[in-house]
Amino acid sequence: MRLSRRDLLKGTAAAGTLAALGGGWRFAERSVFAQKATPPQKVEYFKGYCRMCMHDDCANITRVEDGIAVKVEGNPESPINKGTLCPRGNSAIISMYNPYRVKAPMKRTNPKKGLNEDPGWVEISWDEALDLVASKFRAIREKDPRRLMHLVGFGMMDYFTTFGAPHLPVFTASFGTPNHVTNNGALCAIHYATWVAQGAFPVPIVDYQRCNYHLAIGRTAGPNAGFANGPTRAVAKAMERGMRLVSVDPRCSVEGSKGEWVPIKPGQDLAFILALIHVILYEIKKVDVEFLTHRTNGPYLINAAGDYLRSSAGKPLMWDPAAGQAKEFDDPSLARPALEGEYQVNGTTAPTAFTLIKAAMRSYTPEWAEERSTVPAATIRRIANEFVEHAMIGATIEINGTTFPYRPVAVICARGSINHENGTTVDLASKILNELVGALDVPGGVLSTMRGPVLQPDADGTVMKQGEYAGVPFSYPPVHTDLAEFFPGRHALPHMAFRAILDPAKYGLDYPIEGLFVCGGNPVSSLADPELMAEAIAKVPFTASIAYHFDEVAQLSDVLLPEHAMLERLGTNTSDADFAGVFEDTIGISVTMVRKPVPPIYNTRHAHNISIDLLERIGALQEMNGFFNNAVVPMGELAAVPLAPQHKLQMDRKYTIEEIWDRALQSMHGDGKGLEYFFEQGMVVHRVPEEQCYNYFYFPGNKTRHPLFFWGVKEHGDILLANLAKHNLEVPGWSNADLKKRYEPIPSYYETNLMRAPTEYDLIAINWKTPASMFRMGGVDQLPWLHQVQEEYDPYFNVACLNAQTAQAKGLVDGDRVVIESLYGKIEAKIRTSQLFHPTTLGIAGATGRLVDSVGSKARSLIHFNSLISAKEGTFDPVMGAVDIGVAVKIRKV
Amino acid sequence: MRYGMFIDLDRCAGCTACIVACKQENGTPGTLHYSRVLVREVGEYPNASLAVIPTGCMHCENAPCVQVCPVGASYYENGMVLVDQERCIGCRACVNACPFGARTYNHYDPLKQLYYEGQEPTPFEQAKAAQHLKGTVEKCTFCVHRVKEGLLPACVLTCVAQARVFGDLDDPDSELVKIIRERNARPLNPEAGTVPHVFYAGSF
Repeated sequence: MRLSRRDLLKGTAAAGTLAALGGGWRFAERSVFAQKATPPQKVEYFKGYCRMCMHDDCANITRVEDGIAVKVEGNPESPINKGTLCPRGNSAIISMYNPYRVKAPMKRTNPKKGLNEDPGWVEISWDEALDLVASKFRAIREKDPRRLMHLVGFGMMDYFTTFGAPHLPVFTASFGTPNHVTNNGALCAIHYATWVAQGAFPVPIVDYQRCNYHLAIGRTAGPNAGFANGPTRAVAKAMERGMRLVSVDPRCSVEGSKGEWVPIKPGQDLAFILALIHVILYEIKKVDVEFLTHRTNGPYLINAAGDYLRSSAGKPLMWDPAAGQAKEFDDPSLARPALEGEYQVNGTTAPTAFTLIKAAMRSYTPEWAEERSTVPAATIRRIANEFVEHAMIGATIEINGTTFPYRPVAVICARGSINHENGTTVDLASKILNELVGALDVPGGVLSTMRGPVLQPDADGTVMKQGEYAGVPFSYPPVHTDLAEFFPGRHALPHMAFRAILDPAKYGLDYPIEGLFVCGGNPVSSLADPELMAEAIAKVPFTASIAYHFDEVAQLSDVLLPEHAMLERLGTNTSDADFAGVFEDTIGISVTMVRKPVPPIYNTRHAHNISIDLLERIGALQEMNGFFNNAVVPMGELAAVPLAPQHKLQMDRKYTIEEIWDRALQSMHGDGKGLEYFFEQGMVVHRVPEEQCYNYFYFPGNKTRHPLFFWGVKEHGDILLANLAKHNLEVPGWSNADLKKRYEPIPSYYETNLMRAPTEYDLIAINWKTPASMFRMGGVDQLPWLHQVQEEYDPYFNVACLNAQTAQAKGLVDGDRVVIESLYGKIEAKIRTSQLFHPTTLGIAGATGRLVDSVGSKARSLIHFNSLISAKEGTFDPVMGAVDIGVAVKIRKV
Repeated sequence: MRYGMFIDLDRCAGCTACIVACKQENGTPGTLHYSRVLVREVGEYPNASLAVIPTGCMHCENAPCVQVCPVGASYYENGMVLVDQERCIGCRACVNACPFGARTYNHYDPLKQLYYEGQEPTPFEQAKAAQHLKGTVEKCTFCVHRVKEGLLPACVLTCVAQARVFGDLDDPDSELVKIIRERNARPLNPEAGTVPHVFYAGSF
């Protein structure tokens, strides 16, 4: 076992490089740990990319020695992650060797389903498993295809059969059911306002190469998450050159520590933002008049009903002070519309939208906001002033011959501030803040992850309604089991889908769900109301799951179709965007990566090949092939490619995922550049010129208008409310008056359930992502390497964090075990006192905790924050569907 | 040739990628880690902040661990402090001598103290962890096996903030020497007189 240095040097690699390194080298002939005792017979390298989070930007290389994966590291050739990997990416091997994986197809023998019922798994062949599932699904399809629900999630996120954004999901479309439900999203519904204001998905990003002042409200700018794909480095570098980072958060994170921490009471971000707007409009009185006048709908005239005042041709009107009359927004003679004021048009008085917004902000003084948010009024005033000063209103910058406005400031809200009952309002208000200083989609400011003509105006001259802002048409009875008809701006409504499974009639659904096909989504551990979710899955007559491990959903399934672990899975991803921020070294990069799979260790299959086999056996192969021939092959979250004529599929032949991706890659990159080419190369990098990365470029000047007055949101609400009235309905949980308030065109403050909690619930439990416990893809919450680093080096892991003074007042000390109880659920945890938390807060970190033992006792033993929260009707954001991740709790010592 | 490392605490996000990369690279058994990230709170609410510092073996020039080793198992090599596993008798004098707590005694059979409790050893453990021996002392090697192949230590390559620089302290033109000078980087605990080869910039 022990070998001397002399033996080691017999390894050719070591001897060769020693010589190459030259004369300075001399190693003593001794043995040191971590040097392989016997050189491996066979060393192979597999180029790929990581999927241990949803960014999937990081290229990696897996080293396999004599058939065993021994190291995954970042591919240094990648311009995105440059050889780096985060703690999760570094754990991919131990995810593959997770003993709690499903290792062969399984059939349930115990008909009783429950989290505490032994399913009585019996191993079956792949043929039997696929036939069994296909026969059930085929029967459903013949009867009524709507009765099958496809539940997907981050667990299996390669954009092929399971996800289709921005296009139709392939499996659901081919099967013919409208019920494609994404489990991910309800706890991270942060997209709607960016669709509205910037025409883009999924999130706003910061131009870190130029931004000088970033106000991050409930947001991870980069370092907090330890992302390897750029933002951690970019924030560090931006701060080195002087960018100010202000973190408004109930918790002082690493970012709050490196920048400035502004503690805030959870759920009160709206008060803080509205007060910033107030200070800018009423105290500083300095705004980007050019931007507001020419690039927003601020000058549009508004009628008494709160709608655009329109010409007889139906076009929105603006006031032309030079001519003393109202003109259509696109009238070429209208050089400079009035931004502010009230004007007489056809006998009625019509104020501009900006005038109404300003009036609506009058009462939101910093003192008013301090009462609610606890952020001192003086701090709010200072931040507003710093924000406006840093915005350099009026400045321009030239990039490759194009002149842009230059606004090096960015306010961005994210999960911590948006994933609340009032999240839509919070995020829309943050857009106004950026618009007041002209910082949307210009250098230095708030950009989006989509590059191109996404700011294209609609018939009203404002950014076109796209994606979640396009809405879901109303119909009654509802078509969708997730009740999208009632929540037309929804990101994801798994919480409603499972409620509807339990009681379809309550929601007017005229059909039940009879089959559930799960691929990567787990509403029991990764949503709210876990017991209710489990009850709903158990109620479905037949559930088949593509399964990595024996999680809660597997426990409730009839058949398990085991899938490869990430490293074993062929994959391709085209990251066609600056997904996590704009940095000087990566701006404009588009990279296509392919993951060459390492040989699977168990009797598992590729999730997409399982889906394709099922479609074939169900009799829906032609629909799938037709989809790829007539539409596109999804190649990433924001990328898709039409198949080139020579790569079109024969309609009646079954293709594997390997064959389809090979054709799609060649269609994208040219013949000969298919899978084999990418297995060698690993990636292909393209770059668009820098000026094209700022969406202002495509519609400069007054060629488009961002909504400042969110008339489109109001329109959605008006249509919904009119339809509800027509059918004499209310959305369960909300009165129509409540709903109307959520669809107002101007953000206003209102109370949420969190604020109305009984006084004995005197703390607010909050949750945040951490580098080692972020999402659960790859079974991250099960992996021992990650448990170890957190238990040993993260004092905030698996404890309930409490402000030290609050703890003292309650007579609690470090290590005390407490019961934490919300109106909806109860958990136990150990107290950790800290100076880094707002006094009203009880902090629980990360995505951890399980409700079954079959993922290992360790994973089961960790705190399950989601047991405290609820998506009860009336408590979540009815516009985009966000489940409130702040919940009032009371605690008592055990 | 004197190998050394620079760590920028202003950049370090405390994400622990270095610890997991080290775990993977060196295949250390059970809960053994060569690399660490220490965390502490500074100040009082609301003027409080979180401070993080990655540590490990400081590869001292005047290393107490080498001095106290009764059998000469700990030794210097190109500025690194290494442990000869053939000679180590597990007396643990070095564990006590190290002012940085960088050394760990291997109490257990590597295939009995497993990653997944109550399960079989993973193929990874059989291939990698099994090479570590019960009854010896282990610590960070600056990934000497990688360095010899012209590769960066695993923690340096993986660092998402690019907070670490590795190089030759004897080479005045190296990025390492330049950044230590530019950032006025200094070692931890210089009073101990051990002359560490790991330098930190930022507050600690």
